[in-house]
Amino acid sequence: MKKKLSQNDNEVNMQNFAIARSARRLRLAVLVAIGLIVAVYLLARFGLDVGPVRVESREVVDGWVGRALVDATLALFVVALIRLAQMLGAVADGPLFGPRVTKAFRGFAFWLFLAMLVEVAAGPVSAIAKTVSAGGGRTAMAFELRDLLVLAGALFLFLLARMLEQARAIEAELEEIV
Amino acid sequence: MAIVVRLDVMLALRKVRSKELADAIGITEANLSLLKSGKVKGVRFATLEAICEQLDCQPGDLIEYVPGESSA
Repeated sequence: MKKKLSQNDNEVNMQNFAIARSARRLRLAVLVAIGLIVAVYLLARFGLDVGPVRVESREVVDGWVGRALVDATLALFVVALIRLAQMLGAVADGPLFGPRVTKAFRGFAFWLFLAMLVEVAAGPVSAIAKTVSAGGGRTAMAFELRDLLVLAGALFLFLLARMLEQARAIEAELEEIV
Repeated sequence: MAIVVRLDVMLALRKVRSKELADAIGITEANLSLLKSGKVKGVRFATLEAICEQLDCQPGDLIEYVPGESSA
């Protein structure tokens, strides 16, 4: 019986080790992605050339407001990726489904949702602001279905992450009842 | 906390070792140790019933309310 239990423990430890290793690799990939995204964005922002490649950015809203909105969206997206990297680091350090993991996952989903919200709301808000500053009138607001679906997906991800965090808190409390 | 666990006293009175009790009631020695030191948030009625059955005692023999106690 003890031998069987020990064998099961070994299998669980090996699975945990494999997941921790995958998490470390994924974390490295996320960190590299953050570096690449920031580098590409800076190239586009300042209109720099890399050999034959020219990276350009096109804002939905014209002028400095448009650029500021893109900056804000990218900053929020990078923060979301940093929280994702922190979550993967917490998974690698263990426990696999610990409070640190669920908290970082919720943070990732929250910042991602915020980034998507700024991205989707930028155009309509800018249109309204223009109309108001022009002294009123009619404003046409157009939403891309794709953007709305992405926003809904990010919202559901955030709600799921929040539910998981609450479930983890309840689980932690139950673990302290013998 | 004002609730003090007297499990170690009952174990000594009944001359039962922690490991024996843990095996008999189906919880780990680590959890029994936490229970003995009062470092748990709660005790299931099933656990309490099993301990009382094994040590032939009442729940009041295992836990006691001591006003003014403030240890964690």
